[in-house]
Amino acid sequence: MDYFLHILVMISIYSVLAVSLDLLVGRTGLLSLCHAVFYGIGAYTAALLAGHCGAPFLVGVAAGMVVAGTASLLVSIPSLRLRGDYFVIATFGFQMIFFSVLNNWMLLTRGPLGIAGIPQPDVFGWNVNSNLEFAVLAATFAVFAYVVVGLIVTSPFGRVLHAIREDEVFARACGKNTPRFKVVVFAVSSALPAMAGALYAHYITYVSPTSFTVAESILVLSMVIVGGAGSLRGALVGAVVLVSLPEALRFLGLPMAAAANLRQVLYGALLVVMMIFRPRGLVGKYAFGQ
Amino acid sequence: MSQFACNILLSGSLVGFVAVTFSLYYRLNGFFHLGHGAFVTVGAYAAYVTSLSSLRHPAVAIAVSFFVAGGIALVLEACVFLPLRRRAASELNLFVASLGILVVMESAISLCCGADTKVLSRGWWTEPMIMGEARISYIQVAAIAGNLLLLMLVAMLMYLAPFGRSYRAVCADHHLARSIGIAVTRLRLAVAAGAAGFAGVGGALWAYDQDLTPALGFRAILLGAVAAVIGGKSPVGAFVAAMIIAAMQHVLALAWAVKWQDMSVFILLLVFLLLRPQGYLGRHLRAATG
Repeated sequence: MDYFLHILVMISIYSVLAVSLDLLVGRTGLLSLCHAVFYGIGAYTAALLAGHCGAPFLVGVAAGMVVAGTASLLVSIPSLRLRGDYFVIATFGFQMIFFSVLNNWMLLTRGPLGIAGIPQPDVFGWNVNSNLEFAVLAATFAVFAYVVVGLIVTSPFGRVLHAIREDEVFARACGKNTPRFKVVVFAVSSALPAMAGALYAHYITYVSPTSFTVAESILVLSMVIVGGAGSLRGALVGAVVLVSLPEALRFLGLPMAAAANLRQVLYGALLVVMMIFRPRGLVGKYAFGQ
Repeated sequence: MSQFACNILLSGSLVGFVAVTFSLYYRLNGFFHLGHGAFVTVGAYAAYVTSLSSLRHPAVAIAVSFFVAGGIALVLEACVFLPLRRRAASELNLFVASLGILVVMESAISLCCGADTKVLSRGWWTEPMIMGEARISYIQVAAIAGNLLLLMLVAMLMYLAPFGRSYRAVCADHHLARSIGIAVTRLRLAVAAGAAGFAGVGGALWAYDQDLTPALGFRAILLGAVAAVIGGKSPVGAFVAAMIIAAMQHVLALAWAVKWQDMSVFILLLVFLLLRPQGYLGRHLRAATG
C-alpha cells in the first residue's frame, strides 16, 4: 500500500511540474528546458530554511516560490529577444549553470553531498509523516496548481498567451505588450514548480544536485508532449503515464541500473514517436511546434 | 611549443570535431540536432569494442567508428527526420525528436555496455613524444591533425566541388534548390552520415585521450553546440570558437578553479545569444531575435 501511495505522491508532484510547464510550452509556445531549475530552487530554499532557521513548511514553500519567481526574471528578461531553438538553447544554458552552481557552491548547497535531515512538514499543527498524509498534501498541491493554471488560461490574460503562441507579431500589432506577458507567465510558471520542489524536499528529507539535472527538465517536457501540449488534462495524463508506466519495469525483475536506463530509453522513444505520429499528444488539441 | 599551448590545441581539436560537424548539419537543416552528441558516444564505444578484438590498431578502430556512427545516423535520418520533414514538422518538432534520440542512444549504450568508466587499449600510440617543451602522444597529434584535415576537407567540398554549390543552395532555399534539380533528400542523407561519421571519429579520439563513459556525447555536444552558436553556423567559425572555448577553460583552470570551467562556457554562450546570436562570423538573424 505504501508503495502505491508513494507513486501517488510522485504523480502529484510531477503533475504540478507538468501543468506549470504547459503554461509556457503549450499555452505560450515557449519551449523551456530549465524547469528543473525552479523545482530545485524551491527544494533547496525550503531545505535551507528548515535546516538553518527552523522555518515552518509553508514559509519554506512561500519563500521558494518567491525566490523562483524572482530568479525566473534572470531567464525571461534577457531571453525575450530570442525565439525558437535559440530560446531553447538559452534555457538549456541556464539549466547547466544552475547545476554547476548547485554542485560547486559547497558553502551554501554542500555540493554533491546534498542536504540531508530535512524535517517532515507541519501544516498548521497537522504533522505530515505517513505516506497517506503526504499523498493528501501532494494531491492538494496538484489541485491548487491545476486550478491556478486553469484560471489563468481561461482569463483574458490566457487568451493573450494563446495569441502570442499563434502569432506574436499579430498580438503585438493588436496593442498587447507581449514581452510583459511573457515575463509574467514565466514567473508564474516558475513559482509553481518551486512549490512542488519544497514538498519533494520535505517528503524525501534529502536534496542533492542530481535530482535537478537537465534530465529532469527533459522528463517534465516529455510529460507535457506525451500528454498533449496546450491541455491541462494532457499534462496530467503525461505525468500519470510517465511516472507509473516505468514502474511496471520493477516487476520485470531487472537490476536497478538496467531499469533506470530502460526508463530513459522509454522516455526518449516516446518523444520521438510522439513527434512523428502524434505531435498533439495523447489527449491534447494543439499540435506541438506546428 | 609549451605544454599549455599544446593542451589548448588538443582540447580545442576534440571539441572542434563535434563543433564543425554539428554546424555542418545545423546549417543545412536549421535545427539544433542534440542527437549528434550520441554519434560521438557511438563512435567512442565502437572504437572501444574494436580495441578489445584482435584488430586493436587505432586506425582500424577509428575507421570502424566512422562507419558505425555514420551508418546509424543514415538510418535515423531516413526513419525519423525525413518522415518528420514530409509532415512539415517545425524546427521545434525536429529538435524534440533529436533530444529523444540523444536520450535513447545514450541510455541504450549504458544499458548494453554499462555506465562504468572504460579505458581504451594502451600501446605505442599513447606513449608521449617530446615536442619542444611539451609532451604529446601520437594519438593526440592525430586528434589535432585530424581536426585540421577535417576542416580542409569541408572547405574543399564547400568551395571546390559541385557538392558545395548544392549544399549552399539547399541552405539558402531548399524548395528552390529542389526545383532546379538538386537531390535535396540525398544531400541531407549524405551530410547526416558524413557529419555523424566524423563526430564518431572525434568520439574515438576523445576516448583514446580521456576515459570513456556513456555521458561523453552529452558533454561533447554541449561544448560543440556552444562553439557552433558562437561560430555563427560556419564550420570554420565553429572550429575557431572551439579553440577559444578550450583556451578560456584552460586559462580559467590555471587562474581560478577547474570546477567553474563548464559554467564559464555557458555564460559565454548566453552572452553571445543575448548580444550576438548570429555568432561572431554570422550575419544578422531575424529568426533568432525579436
